[in-house]
Amino acid sequence: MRGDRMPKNKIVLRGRGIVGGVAEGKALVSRDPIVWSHGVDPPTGKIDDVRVYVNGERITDLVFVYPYGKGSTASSTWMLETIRCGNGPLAIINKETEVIIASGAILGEVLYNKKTPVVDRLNRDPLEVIETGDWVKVDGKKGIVEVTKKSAGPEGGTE
Amino acid sequence: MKTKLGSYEKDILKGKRGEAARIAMEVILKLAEAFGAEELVEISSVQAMAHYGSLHDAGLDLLEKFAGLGGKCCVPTTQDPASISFRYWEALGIPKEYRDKQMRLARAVEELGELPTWSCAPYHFGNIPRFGQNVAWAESSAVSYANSVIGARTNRTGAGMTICAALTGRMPKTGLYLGENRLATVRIDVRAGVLSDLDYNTIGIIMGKILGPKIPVLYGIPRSVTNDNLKQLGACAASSGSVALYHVDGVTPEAMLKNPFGGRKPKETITVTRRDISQTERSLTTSHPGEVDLVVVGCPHYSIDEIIRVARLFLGKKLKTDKEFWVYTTLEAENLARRMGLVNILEEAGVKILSQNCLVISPLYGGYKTLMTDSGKYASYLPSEHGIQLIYADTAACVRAVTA
Repeated sequence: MRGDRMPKNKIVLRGRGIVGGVAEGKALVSRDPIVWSHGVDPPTGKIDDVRVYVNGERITDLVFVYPYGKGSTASSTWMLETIRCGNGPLAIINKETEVIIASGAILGEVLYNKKTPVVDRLNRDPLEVIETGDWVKVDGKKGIVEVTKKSAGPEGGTE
Repeated sequence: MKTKLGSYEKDILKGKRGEAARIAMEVILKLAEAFGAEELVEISSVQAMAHYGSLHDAGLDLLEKFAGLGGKCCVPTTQDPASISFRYWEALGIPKEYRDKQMRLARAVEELGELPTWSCAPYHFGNIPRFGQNVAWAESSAVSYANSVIGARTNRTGAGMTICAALTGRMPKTGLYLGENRLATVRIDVRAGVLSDLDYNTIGIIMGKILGPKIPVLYGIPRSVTNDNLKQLGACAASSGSVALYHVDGVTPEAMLKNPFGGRKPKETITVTRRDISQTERSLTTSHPGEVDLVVVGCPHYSIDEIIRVARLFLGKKLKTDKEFWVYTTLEAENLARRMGLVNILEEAGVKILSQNCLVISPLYGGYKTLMTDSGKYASYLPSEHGIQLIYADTAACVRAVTA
């Protein structure tokens, strides 16, 4: 990227594009792993897993950043139902994406024509780089994530 | 990465086996390309999901879409328990609208040609893979059993993806379908003396918390360990973590055939002591339990051996007034238990046998405040799922708590 012309508060990360599509918006970051099954409420898009620090936050229309999924294999249809209800996230960024989450996103496009780009294995830990409220652009095909920090801090620069 | 396709897969993509199979193959192919699978793997059976509690209207849309397009499973396909008891739903206060959604899913499942077993333990009856066979299973406890106890190969297949596998007979060749990904990295030494049935649950909970998705080898488990003990261990490890495969020295097939670490040293060694087990056992009881009003057992579904055991505990006993005791199992085990006179013993004592059902994925009505269970998996899920207090204890204590 044109590193020298990049604003100080912009960071570009590269990883593996899991599910295609481009989306951008504010980030919601969970440091805890996420269980979609019984952990995200499809009719509201709220995280209702009391074991998770971001419990009570809505994921709807945000770029949802979390390390990895855990728990039930039913998570893919919980995610699909959240998408059906119009309460899905704009995009998902993981350290490591499980097949179950990719399945939910792929079926969301097939069934409801709704793209949810998914990217993982970035060249830097997304939980270190991205904070809740940062503006994040995700290209799920190329596996590129552009982070604009909400406040220009020491994090500036490009990779 | 482009995934290599054979003529069978290409024909499906051209629609030669119908529109449902074509869509399903497109989905499988997207998943394969996402995870860089070089090719697809032929699978021999599917454990799917068709319970309304997890599928919701979206899952109903998916199954009815495929059924409406005339899709048929091309490999034997079973599915997890239903979100209602087909026999007791009305008595348990399930609203008719909810029941109707589950029945629509049941119709779709039958139209698609699935075997209506409705069990989380398909390896008891109806869907029994061979060692080394590739299958596509959902249900984390069944995935663990198939991989670990049988030595069949499956990833943790997502609900929704399972029907695509059933319609095409293919999955991306990634993860646990590949031998090199089945090796262990963690050694767990169990040093806790004689192990009870409940201990296997508790050890499973400890394993899941320590491991996340990592693969362990357990040492210190006796060769006489029962399949039910391994079922409980795996179910618990998959509920507190996401363990899809574990090896047990001298017990599970892959650990008996070759070095389960692939000749390398374990990256971590962990010891589980009696003290660890007691501590975790206590932590699984919630903080403010009252008097028990409902006991639930059979997660994963009780085998016939476990029904025999609980029926013996009920000999000469009856439930106290206003107490309930529910046994979750397969319809096949229930039928066998009926022929053995065990259903009679249990029902005369006031027990309800809720075959083909499960409380984790069903609504709970009736105002129950404190539940008791002998299942570590129920203990991990039920308090948050149903907002109840819970006591975790062995089966005999569960029976004692509600009988006279």
